[in-house]
Amino acid sequence: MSQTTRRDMLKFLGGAALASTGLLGKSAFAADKAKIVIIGGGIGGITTAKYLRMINKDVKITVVEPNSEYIFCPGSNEVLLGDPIADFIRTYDHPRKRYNFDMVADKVASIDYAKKSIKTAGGTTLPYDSLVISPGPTFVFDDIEGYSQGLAETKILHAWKAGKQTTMLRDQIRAMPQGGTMVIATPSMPFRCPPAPYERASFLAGWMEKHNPKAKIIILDKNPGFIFQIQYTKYWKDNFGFGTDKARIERISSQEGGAVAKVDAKNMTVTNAHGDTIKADVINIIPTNQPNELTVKSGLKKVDFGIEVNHHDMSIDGHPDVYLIGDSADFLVKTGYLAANQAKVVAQAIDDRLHGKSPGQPIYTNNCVAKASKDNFGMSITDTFRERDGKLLLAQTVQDPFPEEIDNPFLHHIRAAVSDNWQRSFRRAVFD
Amino acid sequence: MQKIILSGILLALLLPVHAEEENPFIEKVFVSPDTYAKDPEVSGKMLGDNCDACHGTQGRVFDEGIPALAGIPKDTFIKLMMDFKAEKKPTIIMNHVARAFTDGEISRMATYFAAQPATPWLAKKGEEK
Repeated sequence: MSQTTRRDMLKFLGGAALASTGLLGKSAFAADKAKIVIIGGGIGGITTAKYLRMINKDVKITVVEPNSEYIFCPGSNEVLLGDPIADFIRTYDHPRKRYNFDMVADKVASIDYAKKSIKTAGGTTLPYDSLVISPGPTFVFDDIEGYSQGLAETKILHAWKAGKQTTMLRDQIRAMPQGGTMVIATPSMPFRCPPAPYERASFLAGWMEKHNPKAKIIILDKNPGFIFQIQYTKYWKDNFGFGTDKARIERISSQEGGAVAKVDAKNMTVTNAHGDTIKADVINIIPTNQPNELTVKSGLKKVDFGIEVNHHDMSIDGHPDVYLIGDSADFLVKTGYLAANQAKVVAQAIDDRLHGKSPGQPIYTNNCVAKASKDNFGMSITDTFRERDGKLLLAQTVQDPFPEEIDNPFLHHIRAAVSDNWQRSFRRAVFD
Repeated sequence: MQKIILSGILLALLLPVHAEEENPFIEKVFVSPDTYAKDPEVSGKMLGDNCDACHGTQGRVFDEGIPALAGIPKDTFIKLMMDFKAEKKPTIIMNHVARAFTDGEISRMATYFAAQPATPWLAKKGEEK
């Protein structure tokens, strides 16, 4: 938001003009409501609708989302430990009423940027004045031999969007034979929620300690290192014999051949980049995350970490009034936290433009949480991104606890509680 | 404190920083917010919106451990944030959150939150006004 003071405004309009036109001509929009279409009813999409409505009563907002409810990903690894998935589910009734937006229960089939309209799979055409694209990532299945979307929905689950697969994976783990092996395979960066594969492994190793003490988790990692590596490594050494023959968690990094080349669902084996084959009882492959196919199909430009956006306001250069947020946008880090803060920047930019102002200076924080154990070991990251000339600058990133704090168990307990608190508050901040 | 001048930092993130750790993530990056002091101002609302994910919409969640921010008197807010920023007040996250902002930004945030009503964003049933 630009810093328009009352004095600037009076100077701009002049006293008499202010009286005759109404404040910034806002009444004009009531007669001809600007149509805002939002693709995706997730964290990014609903936050955009909510925060736009909080500052603009006039626009007509339509959210296009095929699902009738949203299941929050943040925290959903805890469902694997037995937490009810209901805690993570929100229906759209409340935000739709409170923030007065329409919903179209359909998938988007195509976007016509020239005509400023979208078309749904069911054939509905929706014209827009501003378009916000927030559809989540598209998962890639064909970069691993023997893997497919069908397998991912039935046997070789990913559980990387919280939902049915999360509870199915939980049940697979519970049904594992004593002393069995679970493989968790990661995609290369960037992917949604960078600490989540390691959090998942850490949670499940803790669960196995009680329920299946001889079982083992092998992380096949397509990356050389990972976020919170110092903290997780410490926790795993202290609790799971990490690095020894009897380790409950073993990690094979990308340099050691961690990338999965092939999966054989019938014989339940995975083959890594070095040709080594591992037999497992549960195979959890987290597929490669790509910018949503809709963005690629509609001709938007792919760069290193997603679709190229102008980081000043998350708009797409050359496509007036189109904004892109969340997993598909060009940010190395993909989190719900960031998607929500990108959404707030977009809501402000849309409102600014409707009032003839250019969008003001943004800031994006990602002050997010992860855990090594559900109740005993929480961690936090404090990221701040600033923007200059449409480009993103990382001003701060800090991973807590610091190595020198790592032997203080009280801190880890507090951070686990903060993490739980954050999950609840975040769900409320998006949907309430 | 590690200070790194960042140009093309996102690309740098993918390069090995400490070869012995084989970690593509920089564990600590801190650029003093004063580096950005001459950039266009980030508004109080934009700054405040970033706090919502933990502190609730407009800082208005009053029934959680993470405290509400709405209605805190401006001076109180500034004192708290400046103490966090200077590591004078013990905390586990807010020190790192606070030091990412300029003094001016903290002041604008304080003005913003002082102006928000100190009532829950979502009133409980029967308590709606």
